[in-house]
Amino acid sequence: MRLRLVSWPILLVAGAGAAASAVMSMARPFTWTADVTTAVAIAGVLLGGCLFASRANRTRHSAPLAHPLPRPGAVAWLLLVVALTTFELLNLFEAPRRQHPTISSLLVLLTGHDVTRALMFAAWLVAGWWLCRCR
Amino acid sequence: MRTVTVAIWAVLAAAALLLEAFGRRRITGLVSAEELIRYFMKARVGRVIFVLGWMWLGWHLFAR
Repeated sequence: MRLRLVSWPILLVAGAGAAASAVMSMARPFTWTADVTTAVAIAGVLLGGCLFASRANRTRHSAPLAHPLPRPGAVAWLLLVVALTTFELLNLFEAPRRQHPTISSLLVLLTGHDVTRALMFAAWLVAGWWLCRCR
Repeated sequence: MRTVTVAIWAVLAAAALLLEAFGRRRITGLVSAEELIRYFMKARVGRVIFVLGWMWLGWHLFAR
């Protein structure tokens, strides 16, 4: 008896994601390699995610109706998003950037190294895949 | 000034982590980020906004 842990399409998707992350680890921003890898990854995630989602929808019952979010939860996240956005904008319009770092300028610490750049790219791919399949 | 700015970012990040941790345990009516995103993704406009945001994030961090 053969044990099937994962299906071949999932392996294919994971392999493609790993390959794209490896390419991205060597690419630097503002180069055609980075542009093409990011564009292909976006197209692949959107296309693959839609295909998988439509396949899953055929076998899945319709999603339950949305229930209202608990007010404390919604308010707490709203306050945090407002605080993050306000502080990001304050820093964005201040100079020099070194004294007023934005989220992206802090993340350069991670995207500037090959391994962490590949890991961040892989995480971004997984997030996109999840968003495409989210119901 | 940089130290103050980074410290404020750290406080905001810690607040997000705490909110997520409490939300996962459903403490005092809080919700997790996943639950919040799923709620907004029920609407077509929410899906479009989140997917466009994801695309912009990738482009901004890795390409430009």
